[in-house]
Amino acid sequence: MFAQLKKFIYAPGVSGDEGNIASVIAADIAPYVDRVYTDAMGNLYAFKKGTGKHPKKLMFAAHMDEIGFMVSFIDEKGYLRVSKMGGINFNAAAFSEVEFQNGLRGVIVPDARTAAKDFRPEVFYVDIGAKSKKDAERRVKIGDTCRVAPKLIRLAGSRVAGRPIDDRIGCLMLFEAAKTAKVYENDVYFVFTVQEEVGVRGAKTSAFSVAPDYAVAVDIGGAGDVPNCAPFEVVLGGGIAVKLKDGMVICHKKMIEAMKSVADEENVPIQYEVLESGGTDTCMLQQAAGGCVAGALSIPTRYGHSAVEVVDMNDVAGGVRILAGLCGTRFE
Amino acid sequence: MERENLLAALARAVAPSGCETEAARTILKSIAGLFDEAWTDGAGNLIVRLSSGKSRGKERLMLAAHMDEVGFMIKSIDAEGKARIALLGNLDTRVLSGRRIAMTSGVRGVVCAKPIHAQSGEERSKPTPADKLYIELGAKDRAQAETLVQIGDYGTLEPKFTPLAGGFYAGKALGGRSMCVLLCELLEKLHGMDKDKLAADELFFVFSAKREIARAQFAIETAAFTIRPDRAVLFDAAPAADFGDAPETARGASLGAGAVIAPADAGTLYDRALFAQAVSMAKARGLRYQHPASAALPGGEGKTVHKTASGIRTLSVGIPTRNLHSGAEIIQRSDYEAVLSLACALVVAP
Repeated sequence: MFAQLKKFIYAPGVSGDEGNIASVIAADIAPYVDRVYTDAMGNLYAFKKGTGKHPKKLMFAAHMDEIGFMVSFIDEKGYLRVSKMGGINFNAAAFSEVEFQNGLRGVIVPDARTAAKDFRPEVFYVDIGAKSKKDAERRVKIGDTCRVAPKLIRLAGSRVAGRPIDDRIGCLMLFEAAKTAKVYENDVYFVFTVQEEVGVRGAKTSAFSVAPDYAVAVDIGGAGDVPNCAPFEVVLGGGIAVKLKDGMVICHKKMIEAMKSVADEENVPIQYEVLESGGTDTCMLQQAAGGCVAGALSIPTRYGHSAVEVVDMNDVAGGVRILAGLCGTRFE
Repeated sequence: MERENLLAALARAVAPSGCETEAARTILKSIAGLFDEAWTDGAGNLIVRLSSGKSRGKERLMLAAHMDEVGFMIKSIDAEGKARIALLGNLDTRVLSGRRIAMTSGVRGVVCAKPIHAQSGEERSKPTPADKLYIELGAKDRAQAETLVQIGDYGTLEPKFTPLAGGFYAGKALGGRSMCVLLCELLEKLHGMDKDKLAADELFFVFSAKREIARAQFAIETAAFTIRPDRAVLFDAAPAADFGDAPETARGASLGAGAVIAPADAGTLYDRALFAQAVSMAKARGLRYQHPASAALPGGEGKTVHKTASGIRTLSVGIPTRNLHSGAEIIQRSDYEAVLSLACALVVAP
């Protein structure tokens, strides 16, 4: 799974500009499903027809976009001002290498003499090494996107670090589930959504299109096992986390139970996640087109939205088995 | 500007969010005979359909401009016959005190605040908040005031339209309403044209309601949901702060610099292909266009439209507007012409 994750991580896909990552996922998942297609906003769907007598529409969603930047202004000297796309932690992003869709490199830095406490979006600029505005305009245009350079390294045991693990790790889980699921009781839609990081936008329209009976979002969660963190039950390596609630959704009991019973059958460890604030695609899945039975799997993750997001691949492997199990679950 | 009279009439229309009747009526009158069908939906949007007359497909293109404006609603009337107001939309409260107002019924009044010589130093340093303002209607008591206005009545700042030198226009609600004029002018241009040349099988012109009062979901959603277009182009005012000490990256749009084509704003990442197409059309035709820093652009109706139903490919085109949400918004004719030329290019098949 490490090599596959690396492949997904190295394909760029800043919110609103997901074409590149979408085509990588589409090509890789196509052999395992019946049909692959996209919609107006760029959401990617991989559909597998169920063989059950009374198949339900089951939708899995992982967002394929990642946080990044959009060029909004080019100054006389050829420096680029950028608009942040999603929840950028500028303390983490300061003095980093950035990569554009076309491979162009740059560095993102704060204005000279700016103290760390004053790191607001508007004090940052991207230096691509251009000599002048004209020179810069030959290489980038307003609206181009870039991201902090991708990275994936192995840490001790089954743990890995890098970016954007959020949410290519969820994309990996959907891909692996499609690859390994043996029984398809349900019509399953593996959906790779767009623009989650800027406000769960693609999930709204893709859930409207699919109009699922059952839906599961797969995204990174938090971890309560680092020094000085707020009390939080989820730990790395403790198993995939079954979401009970976050700031935007209360998960359906029926989905929570279905996940638990697959986990028991497969002998996969799980933990439960109760998040005070924040949200994922789950809230949109639940409310779209008349509503559905929705839940979510969260991958326990340290240092989210930094360049060194850390997850445990054992948690991921367990999550894949739960997703594959849900494909074969007869929902009553 | 061919349709200067319509621009003047729309600037003078008293049609705040929630009570757009006068604007809708003025628009409909000006485009009589130029469309196949027109109706007002439950949310107050005026929708006009123009068909290519062919059934080669069902490709739909939606073009939209909002016809409402910031204004106010009568909230209460006190014993002395003074009316209190609730603001509709982000009306610039710095400009309210001492201004003439008009109700949709035609009744006139003046916004009053505690006189400046009676204000404390701190009160003077800040605009009077809406709940401390009242409207003088000339009534001697509540009973007489109630013959002039009722609770729930709608009003706006005094309807005014003033052409300035140099191709500038100043007037109430000019930013948004100039884009309504643009849609009307577009319908007129298309009328004489071979319908085979339309860029889609059906064009829907939406004059949307209640844009100014939305925080999250805009009323145009109902129109977009009903029409379910393949593509949408939204025309609106783009705020300009192109003078004074505003830093380069916060200046928004500049008057005279042409059509505003934005890759993104605070609420929407616009469709990349449509954005690129609009830019290349503008380039190919030698039109002036600009990309203000997106941080300076507030989220408009695109926020709702692009997420409607299964998702709609959306493009935003704007006219640079100064003094937005005051009683005298300022636009420049050359910018209007640039937006119109771009709009023409967008509705005609390549």
